[in-house]
Amino acid sequence: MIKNMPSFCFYLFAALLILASLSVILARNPLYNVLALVVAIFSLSSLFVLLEAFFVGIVLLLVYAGAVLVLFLFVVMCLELQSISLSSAQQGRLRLLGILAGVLFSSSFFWAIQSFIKANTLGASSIRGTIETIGKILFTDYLLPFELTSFLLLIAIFGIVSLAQGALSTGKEELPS
Amino acid sequence: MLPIIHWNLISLEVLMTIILVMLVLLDIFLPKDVRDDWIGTLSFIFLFGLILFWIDQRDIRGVTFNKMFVMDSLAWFFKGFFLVVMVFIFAMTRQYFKSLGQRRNEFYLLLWLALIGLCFIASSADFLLMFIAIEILTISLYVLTAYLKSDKLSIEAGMKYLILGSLASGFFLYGMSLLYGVTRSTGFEMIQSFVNTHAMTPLSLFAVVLIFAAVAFKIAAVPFHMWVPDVYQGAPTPVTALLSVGSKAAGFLILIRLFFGIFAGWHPQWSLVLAILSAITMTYGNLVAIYQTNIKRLLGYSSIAHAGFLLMGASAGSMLGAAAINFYLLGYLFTNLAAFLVIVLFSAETHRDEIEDYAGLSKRSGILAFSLLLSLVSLAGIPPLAGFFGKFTLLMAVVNRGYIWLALVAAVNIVISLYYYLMIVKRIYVDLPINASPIAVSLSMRLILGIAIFGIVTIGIFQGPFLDAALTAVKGMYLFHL
Repeated sequence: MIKNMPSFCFYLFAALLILASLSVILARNPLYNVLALVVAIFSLSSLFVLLEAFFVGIVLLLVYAGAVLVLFLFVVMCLELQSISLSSAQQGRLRLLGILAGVLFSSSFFWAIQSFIKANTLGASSIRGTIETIGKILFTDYLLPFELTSFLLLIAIFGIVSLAQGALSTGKEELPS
Repeated sequence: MLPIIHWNLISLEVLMTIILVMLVLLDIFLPKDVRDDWIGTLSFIFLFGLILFWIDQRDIRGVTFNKMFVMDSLAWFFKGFFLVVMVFIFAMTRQYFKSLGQRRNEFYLLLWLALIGLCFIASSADFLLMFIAIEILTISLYVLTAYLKSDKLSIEAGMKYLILGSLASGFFLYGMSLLYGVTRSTGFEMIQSFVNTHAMTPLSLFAVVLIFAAVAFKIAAVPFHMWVPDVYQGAPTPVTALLSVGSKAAGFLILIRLFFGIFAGWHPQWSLVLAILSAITMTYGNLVAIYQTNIKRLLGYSSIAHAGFLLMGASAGSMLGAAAINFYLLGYLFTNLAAFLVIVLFSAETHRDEIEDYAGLSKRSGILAFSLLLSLVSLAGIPPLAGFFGKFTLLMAVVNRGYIWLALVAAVNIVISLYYYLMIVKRIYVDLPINASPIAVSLSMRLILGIAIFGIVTIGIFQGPFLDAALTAVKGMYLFHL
């Protein structure tokens, strides 16, 4: 039992992930969509932990479940989107096309992954996904990309300042509501 | 262990960052009434200083930051290209916002950030660095596109660009991670040696296709062109100009780095696909452009068509093809920016962008009419202007490759494009103006327009040195492989 624990956990979380992802797209109430996404993210991060990629798992939880999805929840609850039914967009030709494209994409991708696993000559990666290794790599080998992300933050600040502040010009124009 | 850093290779970008920080500080401490003018003027001076510095860097070559940052002939060529583009964009911005009466300080700062992103794209030799550089460019462009927030079209354009652009970023990231899974590296050198020793597998094909989709979004090739018309029409005109020249050139730069460098070992697999995409893209762009009534939208479709022409060079897969892309982009820079300068100057007076308003422009302002005539005729590809020789080298490249059919499609497309470009010329010179009030053009703008016209004519007549420069840029490329 103990020996099979990792693979048992894998199947448990993988099944949970699939179920949660399905309910993300199938649930009619936007609130349930978001909550299902939280569950999906949680099971995904558990899978990463099982692969010993601890840092990715934690970041997934903190950033997506912690920050992004709470924001989603706020938006959904503030806008009271519950009343909007998504069914009209799900019907007809669009739905058929979506399913067709999804099946085509995922099956070809599955096939590509399968053939890659069969022919893989490189073996498993030796890098451990702990915070220590990632920190070391980030500040030595990948120093330049890491530092460059500060520009992204700067752009975000300028963007917020220019887009979110009050009237830009003389004040006679109004924001479109 | 820290990698050894050769600061002289990255000095241009470091200088830009210092300038950016300085401008941000000035933005905070200068009084509000002079702030915008000061930042605009200083930006202009700094840009010319950077161009001098760039010329000084012509012999500096090398790789640094753990082989992530490369300064090769291609990077040098395109950095100069982007600096010249920015000179025009800053001139346009000044004029454009003067007539709108809006504040523009953040606009300048975001333009500087976009320039930094462009320069890092030119120098990246690693997928991670390239992705972050692309994001620096694209995210600042999202904000710039939506900058006129009292204008519904601008906001719509910003929103569309943001959503579709994020999708493209997702493609790039997905392709990049699959490629990492296959090759165990994000560095171009490692990936190239993997490509040269391994055959293409389904998974690596998947990765390359996803990365190409993201690049196709940047260059606006069919079927990733949907964002172009609305964004080009809604964005502030200087941003449209930057999208059509700077962003497109960055896309082709990435295309050259990837498909003439690291993926070149798999060349037979993608050459024909690129040729077919090129034919579809130019035909679509030119056919839909005929029906446009808004000049910015028309130039949007024309830029799709030009992406198709430029893809011909990529499909040729030869050194001539890559050099033809560089040369064509040089001509396209002056030609397209001249057209956008005229649009900015015209709309500053009239606040209109419809083609029908351009009726009788020759009687309202001789210099605007003449500049627009030259740039449209050069876009169409009439000798002896820059556009003609550019198309000629591209055609030569595909004929050498053996794609005669593609050359024929391109020839038919040149004829189609002549129709709609010349329709505008007819409006300018033959039709009578609805409103005959003259349009004044200031001396500084005349000078900038003069530079653009000088570029169009010089590249058209003395092709030699420019073609040499384009060829040297490709020859000395890091990891060049055919």
